Formats: sequence, structure tokens, C-alpha cells
Amino acid sequence: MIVLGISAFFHDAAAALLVDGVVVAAAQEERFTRLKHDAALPVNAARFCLEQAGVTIAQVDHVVFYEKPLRKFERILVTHLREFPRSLPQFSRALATWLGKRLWSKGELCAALGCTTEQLLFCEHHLSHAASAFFSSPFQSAAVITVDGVGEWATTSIYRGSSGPDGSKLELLEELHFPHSIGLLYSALTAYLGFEVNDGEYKVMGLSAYGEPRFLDRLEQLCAIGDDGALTLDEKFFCFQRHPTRSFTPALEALLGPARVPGAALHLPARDEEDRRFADIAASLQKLTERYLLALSHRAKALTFERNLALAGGVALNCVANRHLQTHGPFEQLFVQPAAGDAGGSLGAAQWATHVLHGLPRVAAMRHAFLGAAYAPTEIARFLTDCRVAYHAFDSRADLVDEVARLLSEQQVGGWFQGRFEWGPRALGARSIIADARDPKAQDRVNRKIKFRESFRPFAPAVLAEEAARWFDVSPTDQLAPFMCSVVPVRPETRERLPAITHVDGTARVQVVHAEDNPAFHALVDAFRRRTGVGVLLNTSMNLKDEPLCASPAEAYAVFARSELDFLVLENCLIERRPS
Amino acid sequence: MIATAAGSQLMLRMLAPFVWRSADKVASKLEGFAATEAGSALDMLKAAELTDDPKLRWLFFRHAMDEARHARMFREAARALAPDARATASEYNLIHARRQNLFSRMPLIEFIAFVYLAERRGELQFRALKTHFRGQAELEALFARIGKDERFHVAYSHKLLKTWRAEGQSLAVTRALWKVRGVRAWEAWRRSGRILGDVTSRLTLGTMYLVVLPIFVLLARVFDPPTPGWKRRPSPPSTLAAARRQF
Repeated sequence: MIVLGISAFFHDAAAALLVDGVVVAAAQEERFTRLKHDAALPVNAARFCLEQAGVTIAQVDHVVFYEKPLRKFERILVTHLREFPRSLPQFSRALATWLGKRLWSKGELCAALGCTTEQLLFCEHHLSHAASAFFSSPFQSAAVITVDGVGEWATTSIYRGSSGPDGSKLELLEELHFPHSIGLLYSALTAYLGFEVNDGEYKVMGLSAYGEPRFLDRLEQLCAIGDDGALTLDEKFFCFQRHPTRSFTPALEALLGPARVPGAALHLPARDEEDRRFADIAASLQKLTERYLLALSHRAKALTFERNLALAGGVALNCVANRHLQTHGPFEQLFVQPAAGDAGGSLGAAQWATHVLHGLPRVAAMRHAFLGAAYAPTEIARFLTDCRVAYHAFDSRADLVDEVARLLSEQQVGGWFQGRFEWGPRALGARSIIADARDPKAQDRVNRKIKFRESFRPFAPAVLAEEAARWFDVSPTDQLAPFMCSVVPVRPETRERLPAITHVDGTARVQVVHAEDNPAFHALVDAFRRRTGVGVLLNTSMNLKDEPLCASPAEAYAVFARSELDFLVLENCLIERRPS
Repeated sequence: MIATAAGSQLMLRMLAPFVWRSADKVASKLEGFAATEAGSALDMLKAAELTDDPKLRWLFFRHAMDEARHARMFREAARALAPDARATASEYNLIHARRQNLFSRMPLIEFIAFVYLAERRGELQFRALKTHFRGQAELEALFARIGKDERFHVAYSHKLLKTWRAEGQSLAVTRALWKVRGVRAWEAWRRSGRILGDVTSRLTLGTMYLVVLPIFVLLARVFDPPTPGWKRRPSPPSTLAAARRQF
């Protein structure tokens, strides 16, 4: 059975292909169009998935869209009715979008992908999220929580997932409806803090470590968290229901002070009261989010009595909150699929059709995220030769990693491009910028001269699985560690040795690298360990600020050429910057 | 490739004092240039990836790197002029710079014809702006530096077209140049049509909102009031018939 999952029309459009339950390929459209968070129908991603599997669209049994468009349209209409007459500015804009394209999703999908209406299925938004978390997890049964901005009506859902000889089930237990959404609250405050919604949420998370949650009591006025884990927003502070561009009202500014002007200077550690106020609001928001997710997890535990939890939706990308759930929550194990946001809906929709609708047995849990496109070394060598780029091609991986480890140990910063690109927003050693985690200047250098991004944003470490416990407080059974979905404390005695990756609060968003899942990257970190005694590298995504992660060798070289990277590895080819 | 310039250099010089009348306007225009250059860089990079010809690949790649650098230079200049006011627009524009996939959509000769015409227009525009900003050292130098790159882009694309003419493809080159001019005019017409359509649809929908919706507002408020708290409903049915429905 071949099933193609599609998510599109909001943000982070993606396609994922399953063949007999095995995830053969999955990719976000932005990797092909270079348009960050591209929401357009993922024609390029779908074409890539089909080519990777060696099949045509005619051979696909089902194309599954990740939400029910008409139910979503119903929510839009009803919200405008409820908000009448204040929703006038939003109404014409929303209706024009819907009448122009989204209402005809079926036709649009068939025309763009070349499939027939018989092939086309629709899965509910939160059900798609739930399926992506549960069926990618190693659990045979689990509580499943989905938390994002909003799907059709649901903003938060609790499911029970189970797999057995009779097939798999995802049972919906409870859900919260729009506008009561922690995701929308987080987005509104992201906008308040001067970052772009659906892009800057992780910046707010990074910012939170610099502040104290002294605004928590005021943020608690924005929403009530019931004893049963239900969240109720006080709508007087928000206008995302009725305004086309603003998500918060003057009441929010009256409560918290003036909003930050987007792009205005933000110095951290704080230089003045304004810097401190914004960092403290971010810290308070983070605390509120953690408190809410904890209440939600207790609700899920009470409803399911399960031992394990699978979490999905955009809020599941908050790795600080995930750690809080791991350490304080009622579940023994937590799993988050690496593309937990809307992109992951494509994977979940395909998994739901395969395992629930058709009852195919589950094959294996997701152990790595390398589901994107790869490029042959010969193709890369030809590209470099044509572009008159000087390079050295290594015949053996051992020689390559030894040389790269040497460059890194000399505090050089480089790009590392190997195999298929990653599924999800994190670079996990296929399209990475790497540096020496011991170098105290590495963070500032990579932020300012290579990625051109805000100086307060931390960098993540990649650590050998064999060495993880030596440097970090991480469990060997941690399901989130291979995907960088959680932060962990850096061991106090080793923090001074890893200044480049230790965040201001003593934590790091660690990636544990296993040889069997990620052999090339493991070999590199291991070569670095042999040379320096430290099996840890700084690992960040290979892109410049505000760009999607690289996909092709040309894009990787473009990053190298436009930044101050010292070297670039494209498969077995090493390019070094010549002194100008 | 700056695609917003129109008319001759004289016209550009005459219009410049109005178009570039304040620091905020200058910053805004520079942001627009940055977004266009970023989109153009994406197109040229894709062309470099897709072409099989080593010489063209090198030219396209160099062109892409130039455009990416221009985008950054324009953006930095805009930020220097209006650090706060333009920041959001700047980030939004660069994040959302669009590739038009011209190399895949057009035959090679047409693609190069497009590059030639767009670069020539850009070069003219930058020359006019360099003159306009004489005395403002930073902006003058910016347009001079970028104009120099644009001259290279004009030269290589012109040389390619000339080579093809010499190889007996004169008719194809002439046709491509006219086709690109025609397509550009058609797209400008469509753009204005979209703006008109957008305004019309908003007016129509706005009127509908005020005239038709009030009847339903009361019904929605009486029979379907929003209620917070957990909702329980049956799990979505796991049948093909239900999965085929969009609701």
C-alpha cells in the first residue's frame, strides 16, 4: 500500500510517502522553493517523495490531506458571526482567500498532484498530528496530546493510541476549541515581543532563559487553567479572531507595557529596563506554558492511565517545556516526532490512512530523521568543477573525518553536508554548521559572522551516545535526544569546558548521535573526541538568518560563499576558504 | 535583476526626486530592491543547479552570488537609514523572497533574453540613481558597486545572445527578446488586474458582511454560543466514506 500525505495552505507545507507502512520519504516544500515556511501546495516535495520511492502518482493508493477544509471554513464563518461587527477588516481578507483557493482544495490537490478524486482522502488536523506522534513513537499504547494554534475547531486534543494484532486505534477523548489555545496565546506574545508569528516562537523560548518570571501573575490574567487542565483565554486581550494583522489588543499593552518594536535592538544579558522587561515576559510565558502542559499531561494521565506520552503540534517544538514534562510529568516516557508542527501533519495523515483506516501493522519506530533528498558525490564534484571551486576529494571517510576534526580542533567553523536532508526544523548532522564546543568565541562568531542572527540565541550540541552521560544529564532511554526535541542540564562540572553550547541557564538542546542511525556524523564527532578528548560538537542548521535549511550542494555552497565559514564539506569533498 | 524600473534613464532621473524624497522612502525602496535581488539569486542558483553546460553553470552561479550579495547590501543600507521602522518589512521580504523558476519554465534562449533585458533595465536604473545620490557617499558607492556587477550581467547575457545569433539562431533570439518584453507587459497588466480584483472583492465582501451577515449573527449568538472547557465527541469514523468527506 502506497500512501502520500500532504499538508498545505497555512504554513510549513510538506509531503510524506509511506510504502507498506514504511516512511520512504518526507520533506517540507520550503527546502525546494527556498521560501521559508512555504504554505503552497507541496508539489515539489510530493514529486521528490514519489521519485524517492520510484513510483508514479497513479500507483499511489491514497493521497491524504491533513485536515478537513470545510470544517475549518465553518469555524472561520462562525467566528466572524460571533465577532460581528468587529470582524469586518478580517472578513473580506479571509473570505477572499477561502473563495479564491482553499474552498476548492479537492480540485487544487488533484490538479497540482495529478491524482484523482477517488484517491483523495481527508484526515482531521489534530488527528493527523496525533497519528504522526503515536505511529512514529516506539510505544504500542500511549496517551497522545496534540497542542497547536488551531486546526479545524480543536486547539488541544487528548487521544489514546493503541496497536495490537487487531490493528491500530486512535481514540479521541477530549478536545478544547478555538479560541482557547495556548498556541495562539504564545503566538500573540511572540508578536508582542517583536518577532514574526509562526517563525519567532523559538526565539522567545531562547530569550526566556535570560529573564525571571516576574510577570507570571499578570500573564495568568490572560488565561485561566482549570483543575481539569482546560485553558480559557480572556478574549479582551486578543484580537486574532477578528483582526487581519494584529493578534493582541491595547489591553495587553496596558497590562504588560508597550510592545517591542520589531527589529529594535535587544541586548542580552539585559542592558536596560526594557531589555529586562522583554526577557522577563518571555520567561513568564515559558513558565506559563510549562505549567499548562503539565496540567494537560495530568489530565491525559487521568483519562488514559497510560505509562507513555506522545506529544505533537507546534507547541511540542518547545523543547524547554518538553524537558519540564519529562522531569515533572506523570508519564514514564515522552516521544515527540521531529517535525511536530504542521509539516508533520502530512506524515500523520499518511500514517492514519495506513494503520487506522487500512489496518496495516506498524513496522518500526522512527529512529532518525534523514528522509529528504541526497546528492551523489559525483554530481557534487561536477558542480564544484563547473563553478571553478577548488576542492579536495577524499577517498575514505576516515581520512575525511580526521581532517575535519583537525580543522575543528583549530577553532575553525565549517559546514557539514552528508546524505539525505533532515525532516523537521532541526539540523541533525546532514545539513549542519559545526564548531568546537570548547571554543568560548564560537557562539558569538557563528551568530554574528556566519548566521547573522540575534546574539542571544544559543547553539545546540551534538554528543556521541557513548559520551552523553559524561557531559549532560540525559537518560540513555531518552526518546527526544536523537531529534533535539528537549533541553537537558549540562553537568555542572563540565559547563566550563563547553562554553559554546551551554545556554545562560546551564542547559543545552542536546542531540545524542548514534552510530547505527547517523554513521557519518558519528564518525566525525568520534574523530573529534579522539583528537581532543571531548565527544561534543556545536551543531546548528546550515542556513543564514531567515532562510530555510539547505537542501542541495549549490545552496550549501551559497551559504559558504555568503558567510565567514572556514570550510565546507560536501559529501567527500572538502572546500577551504582561501585567505583573501 | 531589478524589475521595477521603467522607461529611459532620463525619465528615471526626472522621477528620482519624487520617488526617493525622504529617508523613509529611500529605505522602503531599498528594501524592495533587496527582496527582488534575493528572489533573483534564488532563480540564478536554481539555473546553476539545473544546467548541464559548465560555462553557463559558472556564469549563473557567479550571478547568483552577486544577487545575494546585493540583497544584503541593499538591506543593510535600508537598515542604516531607518533602523526600526523598516525592520519588520525587511525580514518579511527576505523570508518571503520568491523564486519564479524561470529556468525550468523558459527555453534557454528565452531565459537569457530575460536576464539580459532585466539586467539592462537594472543597470540603467542604478546608473541614474548613482547620479541622483551624488554627494551622499554611501548611497552613491552602493549604486556604483552594484551597477558594476549589473554591467557584467548585461555583458555576459548579451554576449551569449550574440553568439547564438552568430550561430544562426538570430530569429530565435529576436523572437525570445520580443516574447520576454510581451510577457513582462502582460504580467504588469495582470498585476494591475489583481489589484483591481482585490479591491472589488473586498468591497463586495464588505458589503455582504454588513447586509447579509446580521441575520445570521443573532442565530449564531443564541444557538451556538462559544463555551470554554473540554468537549467530548465521538472519535472520527475510520471508514473510507468518512475520509472522503471534507467535513
